[in-house]
Amino acid sequence: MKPGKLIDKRLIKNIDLGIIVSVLCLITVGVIAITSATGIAYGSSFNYIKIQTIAFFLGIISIVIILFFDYNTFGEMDKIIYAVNILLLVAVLVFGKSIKGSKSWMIIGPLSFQPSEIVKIGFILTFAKQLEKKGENLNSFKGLIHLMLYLLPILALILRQPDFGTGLVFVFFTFFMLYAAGLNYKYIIAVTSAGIISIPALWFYYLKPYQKHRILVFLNPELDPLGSGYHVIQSKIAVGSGQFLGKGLFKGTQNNLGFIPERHTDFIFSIIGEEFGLIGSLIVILLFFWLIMRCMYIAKISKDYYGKYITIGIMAMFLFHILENVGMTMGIMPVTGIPLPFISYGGSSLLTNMIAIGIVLNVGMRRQIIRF
Amino acid sequence: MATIAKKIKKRVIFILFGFTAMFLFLTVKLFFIQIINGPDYQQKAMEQWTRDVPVPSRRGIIYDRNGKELVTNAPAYQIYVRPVEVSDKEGTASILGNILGMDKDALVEKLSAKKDTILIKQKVDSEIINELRAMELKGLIYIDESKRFYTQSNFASHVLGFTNYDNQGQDGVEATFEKYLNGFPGRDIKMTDTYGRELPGSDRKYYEPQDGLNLVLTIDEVIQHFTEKAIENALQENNAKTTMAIVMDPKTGDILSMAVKPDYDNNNPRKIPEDFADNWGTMSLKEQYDALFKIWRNPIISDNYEPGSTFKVITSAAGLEEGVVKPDDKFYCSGYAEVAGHKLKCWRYYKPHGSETFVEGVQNSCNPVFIEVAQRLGREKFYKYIKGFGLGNITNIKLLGEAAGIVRNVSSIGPVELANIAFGQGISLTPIQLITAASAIVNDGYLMEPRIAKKLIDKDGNIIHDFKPRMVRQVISKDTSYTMRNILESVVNNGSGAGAYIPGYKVGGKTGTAQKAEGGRYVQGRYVSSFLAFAPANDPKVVVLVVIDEPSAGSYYGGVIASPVVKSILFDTLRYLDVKPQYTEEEAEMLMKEKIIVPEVRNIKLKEAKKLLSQNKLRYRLEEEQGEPTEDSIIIDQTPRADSKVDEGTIVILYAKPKE
Repeated sequence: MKPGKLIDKRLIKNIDLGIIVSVLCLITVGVIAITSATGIAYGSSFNYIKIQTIAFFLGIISIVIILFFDYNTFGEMDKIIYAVNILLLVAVLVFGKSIKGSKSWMIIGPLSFQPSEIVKIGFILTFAKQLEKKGENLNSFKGLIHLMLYLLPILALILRQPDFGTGLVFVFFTFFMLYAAGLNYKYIIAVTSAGIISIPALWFYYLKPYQKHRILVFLNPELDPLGSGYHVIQSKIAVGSGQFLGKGLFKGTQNNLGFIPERHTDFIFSIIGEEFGLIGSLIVILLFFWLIMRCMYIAKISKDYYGKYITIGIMAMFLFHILENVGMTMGIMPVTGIPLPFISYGGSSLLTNMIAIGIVLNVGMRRQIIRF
Repeated sequence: MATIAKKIKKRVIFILFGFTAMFLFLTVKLFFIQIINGPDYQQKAMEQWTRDVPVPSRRGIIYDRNGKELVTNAPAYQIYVRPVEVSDKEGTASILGNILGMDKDALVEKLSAKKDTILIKQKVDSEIINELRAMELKGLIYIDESKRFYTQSNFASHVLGFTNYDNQGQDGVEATFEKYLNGFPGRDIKMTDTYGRELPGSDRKYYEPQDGLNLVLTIDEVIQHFTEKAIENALQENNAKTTMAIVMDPKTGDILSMAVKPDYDNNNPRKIPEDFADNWGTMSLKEQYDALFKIWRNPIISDNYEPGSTFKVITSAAGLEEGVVKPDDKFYCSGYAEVAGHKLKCWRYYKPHGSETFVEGVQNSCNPVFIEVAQRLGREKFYKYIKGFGLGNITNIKLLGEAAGIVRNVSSIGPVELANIAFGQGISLTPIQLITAASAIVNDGYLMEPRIAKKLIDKDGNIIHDFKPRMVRQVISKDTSYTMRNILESVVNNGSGAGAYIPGYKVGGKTGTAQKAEGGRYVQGRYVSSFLAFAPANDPKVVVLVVIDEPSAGSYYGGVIASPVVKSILFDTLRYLDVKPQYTEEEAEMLMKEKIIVPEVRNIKLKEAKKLLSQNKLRYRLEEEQGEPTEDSIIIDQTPRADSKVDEGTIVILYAKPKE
């Protein structure tokens, strides 16, 4: 580790303001939306906001701590991080608590969190290192197999919970990182074809009936308008009825009357759509777009491949969450329990996302090789 | 490395475009949902939170003729559930199951149903609802409704009827006056949340329901009580299948009381009948309904029966009106009448009545006399009166399921059929037809439509509609009616109807004991005993018909078992109606004398019984319907029974075992 003169003024000057502003804006929007979704204006308790605020301050502290270390420190510790990842995922399978059919939550005293959240970051940090080390062999069959085997234990443990949504996040950002690292198109085509070919096998042997049902209902929500299709139909009604300007803060009927399910977590975007209309929704989407673009920029200007890959991975992770979550509320993506980064209620999710931002800021801050 | 760097740079730019495209796609999709389809979704949203709830109208109250409440409304609730909102199906089901006394598995099924809302239970009392509300169960909705409340259970059951769960009348006046009692439901359009709770300060449109009208019946609650009590006793004492009675005001056709026993609890009409309690579960739905329908069925208006001797009042009235017979005309009973080669027996064929006047013939209920009257009339004229008294047609009483009786076509009536009809066989009618016809006979010949409802009033008591008494036609003249009343009074004073004699009240009447026919044959041992009576004979205030179906406790003579019932109803009713007794000199004298206690004469020989009665200054009359007794025959029944207090010279009717 290289703690030291890290509070160098030049480094601080290099911190990306765009990321900080967009994230702060998104978190603010989130807090407002959670306030509305939990009915605080109508006398409900402040508990959700309290927890979200605590997570936010823990996030700030984490970012500050992360910024003290060069991100390459993580690369050097990759074996330890990988081991900790595996340990966490095994631990959750053994000691975790089942919520809605998947054993993905750890509960320690008053704290509860999803280890897979932090493992996402951990895996990105270690996988980026692998890519950097094995970059030249990437397009050899052996090299690719090696990288795949690196992902496999983590993915298997997550699917064991089972948490299909999170599994998809891993596949998504891993693919992006491989692509950014220059994976040959023929492999991309091969993997994509293999994926498509394996769909029937997946459908008949791997997917649980409820998962198949979800996909079928996603294709046609009217199949089950009061069961799993209920969420999507209600969400679309909420978003659609917001129209151009929205119904106004705390005035969303579908929100206040309880028609939107999971409205402070997974379906928070429905609240934004209903109460702030197209204008509000577009502002949120633009904030996300801005954040993603700043991440891309940092990936582009990072001083080394490790930083580039980390940033691409984190950015892909955010992107998947955003597209899946926003898409789900509009009925263009199947319903999975994937929260909207920085906006959905959830302490461990907010904390993890802020840690991820800390790492991206770290990469951006150290883009120039500093000479003393 | 340089090529890799270049490649990566290219790829990053490609990704950049890809991202932009994806975000653009989200934006376009948002635009479609919120702008292009926005109004549709707005409409859908409104449909979700506006609730158009029908507001039930208050059902009209049913009063007796004096304004006493017979049927009112009690508050109750419907419980609905919105399954999507119930997360803990098992837990909620077991709580509901305990409190509402329902099957848990069936509840779990309802709570998991793929429906917006589903009904759990109706007509739940408010205490239970308060208990449920305190538990704050999610997804439950409580809707106000009201429950029909019959102030006295098992009272005038067949007249009042009952309603279904939707408060719609199903039987009795509840069904026949449905459109007046029901009113028009209103609407309540309001904004509610997903739990069905109303939003404070939201727009609400409320259309007031129009309450149903209150119904005033012709039934007199007090007379109904007298009647119910009397026939309930008769049911028990005679171990009968059914007992029934009607009290009618002959001048208006008003039904003052109408009772059938056994009856049912109107507050719980679907209670499992005791006879079926053991195997109810194994019965099919249809069998269960058949069993219930049997209990709900009102035999007074729905069941045809052969009236037997009570029908002789109609034969008599027809004969007198047509002038084919006069009260003093002489007849001769030789024990039978020969009709078209058939010998039709008088009931006292073994000891013919011999020479008798027409009046004596009625007192004796002598069959050949009535056969002769019918023959003198001929079938056409006889039928004119049968039809004239409304037999073969419904009386139009405002109750469900009225039967028209069975009156054969006049062209199919041969001499034998004509003779049979003369004494009440081969013709069937309903009790309501018989009492309506009898009322016409004593009401100066005016046939009145039986009236069950008097008027409809609104909640302030204003009369909205008056159901006026309706005269159908005059069947016989005033004079004939007068003659008939005198003859029938003599039947009670000196004849087979003595059991209904009440000093001072000038009771007139006719008994009847008919063997039941089944499959075209008369069945031994199954009888219908009846008694038709009215009082006072000079100005009839009430007509009473009592029918005892299949008595099985020994006696079955109308004069024995039905007469005390009639007497009890008449006595209570006349006193209640404040009809002043008109004592004859003889009766007045009797009143001054001490009452005599009737001795027990059953199970002793006839000659001893006669002696005992004369020692007690009582007269006797021997009924011999089952055959001729000897002086040594054992007395099997008497009326009045032992220990009754009667006046000196009262007739005690004796029933003796016939000669072997």
